[in-house]
Amino acid sequence: MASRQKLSGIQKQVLALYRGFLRTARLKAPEERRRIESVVSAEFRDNARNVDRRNFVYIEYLLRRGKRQLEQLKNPDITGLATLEVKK
Amino acid sequence: MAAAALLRRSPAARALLSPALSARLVASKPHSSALAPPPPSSKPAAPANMKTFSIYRWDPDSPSTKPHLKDYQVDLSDCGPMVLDALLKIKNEQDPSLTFRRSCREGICGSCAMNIDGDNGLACLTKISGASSASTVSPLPHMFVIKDLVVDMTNFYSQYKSVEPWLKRKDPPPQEGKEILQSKADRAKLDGMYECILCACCSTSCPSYWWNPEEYLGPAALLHANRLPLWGTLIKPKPNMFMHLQARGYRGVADKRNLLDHKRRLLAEKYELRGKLYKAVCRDPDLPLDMREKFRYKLSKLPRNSSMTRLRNRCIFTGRSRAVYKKFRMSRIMFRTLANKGELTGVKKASWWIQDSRDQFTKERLDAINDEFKLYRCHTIKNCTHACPKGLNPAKQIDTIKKLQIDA
Repeated sequence: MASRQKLSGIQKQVLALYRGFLRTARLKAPEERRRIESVVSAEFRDNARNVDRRNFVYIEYLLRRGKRQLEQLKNPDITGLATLEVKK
Repeated sequence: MAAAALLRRSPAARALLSPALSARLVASKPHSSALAPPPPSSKPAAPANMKTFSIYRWDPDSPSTKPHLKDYQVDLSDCGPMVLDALLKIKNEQDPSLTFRRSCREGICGSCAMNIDGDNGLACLTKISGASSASTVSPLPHMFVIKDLVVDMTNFYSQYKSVEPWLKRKDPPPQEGKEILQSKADRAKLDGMYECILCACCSTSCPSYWWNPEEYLGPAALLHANRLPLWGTLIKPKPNMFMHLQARGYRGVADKRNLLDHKRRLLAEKYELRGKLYKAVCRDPDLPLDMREKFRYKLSKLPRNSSMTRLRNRCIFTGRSRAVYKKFRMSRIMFRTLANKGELTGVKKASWWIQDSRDQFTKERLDAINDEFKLYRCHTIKNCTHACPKGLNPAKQIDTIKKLQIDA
């Protein structure tokens, strides 16, 4: 994150998405909340490190994917999320 | 015993037949347990007919690669007639990573909608063009791509949802527990709308939808809005049409002719009293002639543009001098345009009709889409009708909604 400098629009969107996830996690059960937070923060950190910051096409794709996942998570019937590691 | 006897007899019986006949019999009816004769040779009678398909590829898992067109050669003589057959052949034989949506392969599910050679259509219904030039297959235009030919349809579906595409009633059905009845004529009105499979070909072919995908509902959603009931509604005066004109201070557009006419009106007003006075003096037979002459001279000295006869009621929008109605201060053309849009208060067309007779929420439905963006972004471009793979006419349905917006 560009600390203390003016954040670009796309950076603000990424942060807003992250905030959205954390807020939604707050509404779930505490055990689930911790799991959601760890999964989400791990994903965001990985992408922040691996994805070239100039690759707008891919970042926008990830943003759209994240927004859709967030919409699904917001649904009160959804209790939590889990990840699966697929070994090649 | 009898069976054994039969068996023993049959070879004997066969031996009695003439060799030619028996040979023919044996040849025409091979024993069922013998191997089936080999199928006809798999060498195609027609020579290999290769066609190139340029397919849009983009893989989100390798983010550094940009979207690109990849060429694949397909032998048409060994492939089904439709583009979907070619895509499946490529996926099966050449590149398993090619991703696309498909389900029914008969043009009823709407999954395989994509852009083939510039036109939107269903891959399972679009024949491969026989021409030897390459075919370009790309995803639906101006939609976010998830992978290869798969696009993000969430916006499209949410617009469909916003139209509330279900029957709504205010009072309970006439017969409790039974269906709401509908005459054949009423049911016939739904033809041309119920067949829509929500493939999104029409909406994604509309340039107006490309430029405003969030606000404009698109031909598909509007077709479904029309499929539900339509009843007249009161017109709502649209303020924006007039405001920017009235803000200019005078009632006309900055048209040169209107400006001049306005100048004339100002002058006429200024010299009105004077002119009338002079004229009255001139016309009065009781006054002495030289006095009348003097005033006649004075009258002629007044500026020409102060004459009332030079005023002309022009259309305030276009400046047209002919066919201008005093009541509306506009010409017949503008009147018609605005009246059809519903921007004239109290003006409605004499005809109105119902689409689905069973639904009772027509007025609310029409009001819901009666804003500048949801419905009126449609400028009758008619790309949707051209693109629809089921042969429906969304433009016509949108037109009926617009007409109904002005009825009561």
